[in-house]
Amino acid sequence: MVYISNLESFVEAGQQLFISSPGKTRYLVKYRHVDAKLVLKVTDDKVCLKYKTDRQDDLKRIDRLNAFFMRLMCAETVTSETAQAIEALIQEEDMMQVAPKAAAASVAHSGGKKKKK
Amino acid sequence: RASPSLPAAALLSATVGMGRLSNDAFLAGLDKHFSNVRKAGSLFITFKRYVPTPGKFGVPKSDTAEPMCLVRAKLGSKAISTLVHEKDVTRFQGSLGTTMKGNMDGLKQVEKKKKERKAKP
Repeated sequence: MVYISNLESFVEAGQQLFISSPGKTRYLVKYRHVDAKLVLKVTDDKVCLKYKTDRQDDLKRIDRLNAFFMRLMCAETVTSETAQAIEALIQEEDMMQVAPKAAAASVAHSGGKKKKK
Repeated sequence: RASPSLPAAALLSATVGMGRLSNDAFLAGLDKHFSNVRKAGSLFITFKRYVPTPGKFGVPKSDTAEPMCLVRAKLGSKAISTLVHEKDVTRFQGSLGTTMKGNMDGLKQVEKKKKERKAKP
């Protein structure tokens, strides 16, 4: 089992793996309250990527990862372009939560991108 | 439990309680899982892309033919799952995030302490 020590590296590798085999890849979260451990796994049954943590700080990034995976899984086609569009969308939403006024201005400016058909 | 002689559609609708739930029912069940995991065990939440294909008897397995996100939550032998459609993702993911962040409070809160404070010149 390959444990990746850096969360960002795990996220990037996991996203790439999903884009390369969208039909087979699954994303898993394992939580043990008793041991205060959280394990993330992305695998297509050939390649297995894992990340483990006991830190609360990672939850925010993991929440974004959840959003990314869920949206990409529902998308009509899974490509790098779709993934990038989703990442941009998530970043916009993050900004909306942190600084609503500034983010609203930038969203209005970009015109709200939608997925390609 | 439904008998094997029933047609596929009836079998699907007969699965209540544990198993395939609506999005809201799933989130409620997940909350229960989170309160139970505090005592013991591991909670597994799995996400997978689900592209509906026609069932064996030609009965469609879901309303639309659009890809959906299959979300499963398993604690011990109790497994629940739900299908999330693209239009529901934002709402579902928001609720899921709230549930996860609220319940995963067993994790450590690391405070960054500067051991050596450099004196300002």
